[in-house]
Order: sequence, then C-alpha cells, then structure tokens
Amino acid sequence: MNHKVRKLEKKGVMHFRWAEYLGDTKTRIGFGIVVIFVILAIFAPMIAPNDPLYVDVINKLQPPSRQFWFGTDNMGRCLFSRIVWGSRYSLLYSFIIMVITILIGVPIGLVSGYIGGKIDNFIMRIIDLFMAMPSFVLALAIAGTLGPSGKNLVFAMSCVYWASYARLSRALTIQVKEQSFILALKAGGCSHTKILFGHILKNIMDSIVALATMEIGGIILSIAGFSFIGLGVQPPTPEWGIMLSDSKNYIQTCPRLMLIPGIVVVIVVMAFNLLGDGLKNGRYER
Amino acid sequence: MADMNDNGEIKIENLEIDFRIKKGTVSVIKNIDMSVKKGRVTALVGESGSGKSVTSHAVMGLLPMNVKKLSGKIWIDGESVESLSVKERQKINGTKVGMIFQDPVDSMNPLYTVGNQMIEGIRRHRKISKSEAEEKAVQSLEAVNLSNARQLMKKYPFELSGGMCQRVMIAMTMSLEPEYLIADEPTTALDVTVQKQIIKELLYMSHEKNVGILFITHDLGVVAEVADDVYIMKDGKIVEQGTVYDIFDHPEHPYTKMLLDAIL
Repeated sequence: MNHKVRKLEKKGVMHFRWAEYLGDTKTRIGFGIVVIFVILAIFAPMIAPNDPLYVDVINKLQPPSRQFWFGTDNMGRCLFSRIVWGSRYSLLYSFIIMVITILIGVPIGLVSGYIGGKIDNFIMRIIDLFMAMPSFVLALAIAGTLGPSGKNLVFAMSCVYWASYARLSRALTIQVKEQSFILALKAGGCSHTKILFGHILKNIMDSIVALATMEIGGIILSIAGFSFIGLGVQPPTPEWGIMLSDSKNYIQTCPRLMLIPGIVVVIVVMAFNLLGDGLKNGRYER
Repeated sequence: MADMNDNGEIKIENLEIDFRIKKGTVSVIKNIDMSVKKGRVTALVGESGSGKSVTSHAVMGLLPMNVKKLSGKIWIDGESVESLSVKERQKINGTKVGMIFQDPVDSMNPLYTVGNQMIEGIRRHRKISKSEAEEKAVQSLEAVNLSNARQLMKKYPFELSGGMCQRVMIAMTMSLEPEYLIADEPTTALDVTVQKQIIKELLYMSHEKNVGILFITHDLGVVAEVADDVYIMKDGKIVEQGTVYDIFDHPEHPYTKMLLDAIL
C-alpha cells in the first residue's frame, strides 16, 4: 500500500516536471525540431542518400529529383546530403564550444561569487572587458590571427563566450549563498568545495542549462558566419556557412542553393531559441 | 553528572564585534561575557537586532565577510576558537557544536532528499559505510519521535511541514552527537503546539545526553519553560544575567522588567 503511494507520488512529481518544461506548444515545437536535427546529425551517414563530397560535374545544378531531393550544387554534389552532414558539423562544433565555455565560465563564476570581495571585483572587471567588446569581432580577431581552421574557430569562440556564463553563475551563486541552508551546511562542518560544487552548483544548474540552450542558437549562427567569410571550417567540408558562401555566385541563376541552407540555419536557430525560452519560463514559473 | 562544573563549557570572554558598513563601522557586540555549560540550557534573550545571532555565529565561526573587528576570546571546552585552522574548524562544527536555525524548511537544500542530506552529513564526519550511515540517520529520526523514518528519508524538504523539518534538523544535528547545541530561535517559525514538542525534544537532549544548549530567543514565555540560566541582551550588551528564577522573580534591569511585562 505504502509502496503504491510512493509510486503515485513519484509519478506526480515527474509529470509535474515535464508539464512545467514542455507544456508550451512553442517549446514543444522547438524541442521537436531540435530532436529531429540531433537525429540527423547522429545518423547522417545512414540518412544521407548520397556522398556529400562526391563531385559530379555532369550533374551540376540539377533541379530536385528522386535521387537528389534538393537538387545538386555547382559541382554536382547532392544538396540534401550536404545539409544532413552539415547539421552534424554545426551541432558538433556548437556543442563542443558550449561545453568548453561552460566548463571555463561556470567554475570561475561560482568561485568569484562565493569568495566575493576583492577577488570577485578583479574577476568581474576581466569579465566586463570581455563583455564590453563585441564578441563576434573579438572572435574574428583571434580566429584571423590563428589562421582559418575548425579547431581555431572553436578556440576563438570559447575564449569569448565563457564570460556570459561566468557572469550568470556568479550572480546566481551570490543569490544562493545567502540562503540559510548554506549557513546550515557550514554549521554542520561541510567543506567549501563541497558546498560550492555539491550544493550551489546543483541549485543554479537549471538556469545555466536554459542559458546554454538559448546561446547554442547564436553559436550555430556565428559558426555559419565565420565559415561564410572563410575563417571557420574549411571547404569541402559540408557546413552550412560554407554552402552559403560557395553558392553566392549562383544567387541569380539558382537561388535554391542559397535559400535551402539559409532556411535550415534559421529553423535550427529558431528551434533552439524556442526551447531555451521554454526552459527559462518553466524555471520561473516554479 | 555529579559535578557540573568540571563538565566543560563554551566560554565567551570580552567578545567585541564591529561590522563594516558604507560609512564607517557599527559596533554590534560590546564586551560580552557568557558561558554555556554542558547539561544545562542557557537562554540568550533579546529583541531583534540586539546581537543574539551574531554572538552565536561568532561561536560557530560563521561571521560574514564584513566583520571589521573581532576581539575577545571564545573557548570551547578549554580550546581557543581563534587558533583553529579552517580544517579544524570544519571538524568541530557539527561534531562538537551543532546548530539549528530559525527557518527549518530553508535550512535544507531543496534539491536533495532528507536522507541524502543526513547521510552526507554523517559521512562527512564519521568514516562509516553508506548503509551504516543510513541506519544511523533512521535511528536519529526515530529518536526525535518521527514515525515512518524510512519513508521520510526519501522525501524532499518542501514535502514536509515546518515542525517536521525542525525535527529533521534536530535529528540531523544530533546524529553527529555534538556536545553543545546552538539553537537560533528554533521555535519562532512554528505554531504553538509544535513549539512545545520541539522544546520537549531539546530538553530531552539536554538532560539525557548531557548536551549544553544555547537557546536563542526573544520569547520569555519559552525561556521560562526551558532555561536554566538566562542572559538578557540589548543593543549588543548583556544587561542582566542569572538563573531563570532570579530573572523571573527579581528582575533588576528596567529592560528585563519591560520584557516581562510584554509577555502575552
């Protein structure tokens, strides 16, 4: 009997959580699109009907057909396959950048907010420095200096984007550390490391996840932008930004080549923003 | 418990604390002397802002960053608190001196279950396995008259009532078997019937387990029920001290008389 009650209670809690986060239609749409693209990215080799790198000049600029669903580009490569593979590169790179920025930014923010005082002031001024400069321009400078490659792009963008995570986690840490359970933990003899990474981090994690989801759209956009101007991932890698820049000469004759990658970028960024918004709202409604 | 005097005590001597504010400093505690003896309940009574909590935080080493001046001495069983390193301090907190707070629900991390937090606390100070710690947690929950302790272990703090939470806090603190307990307004946030039960638990601890309790409150009604020794505090100063009978039968300081008149 008691067991049953527990089970029901648990179900109630779980249901409540999902309803809270995915209750909104907009959030659900965003979540659905994100899931579709993640599946595309993971199973790209199986889903793509053709080799995205296979150049077949005889079949160039073909209109959509049964074999080439979105037609072919100026070198006869299958556009649909390239989009599918491109989602793999875009999502992978943005995911790596996001993980690195979180791993750098969040601990810095946590420690800075927890210690407070002069150290906090010092770290905040550095963060201000990074936030004051337009992030795209700064990343451009770094990537330009290091030379164009995917790895350098990841490095450049990680250098720039950690600051906003540091700032958010610092602000949240200051909020949480004033709560009385932190005092209770200290009175119980809990070590500072344990308080910081065991208790405070867990309390601020959902906000950070919401911010990360919001930002990943921006990161995807920036990666495409860098690739478009030739500083990011290098051709012939099928990447959305590269596809856009490769086809800019055909904007008059064959606008499909630019439109499709452009629309895909818009859809993915929008989906991540919708999902991030939903996560954020779900958090505040609690 | 034949000899109460040899039993050990928390001794505060000449404690003075200043806080730094935007313009200059504020003196919060002015030359306080007091002692908390084992096996007795010592009440520290005063209005809001009189410095009761700051005194207790000083004993636990929990003072905020903006403390400017801290002079005087605090001894716990003859050991001076100032000479302790951070590690030693963390070791004493919980095992030697436990503390419970005014708002029991907020005193627990809302994201961990009761059991999680109790086991974490016990294993922090005692090198025992997880299942042994769980056993101990259940025992101490049962010791404060919480039925269904095993189910309670799986609940989150927000699923419990205020009174239950305070019992859990007491159980959590007592599971480490501290020799002293600082209770910072433990009954203020609770309703009267629950207050009485919590006070009963605390009295039991004090008498049966020889725990020295520093009971901080602004409620003289509660003091009359629990305390052995009473300190009356106003604006950072101890204005009157004595046994509970002295204070209630022959209050000397006008402020004490005022407080007594204010009992509903």
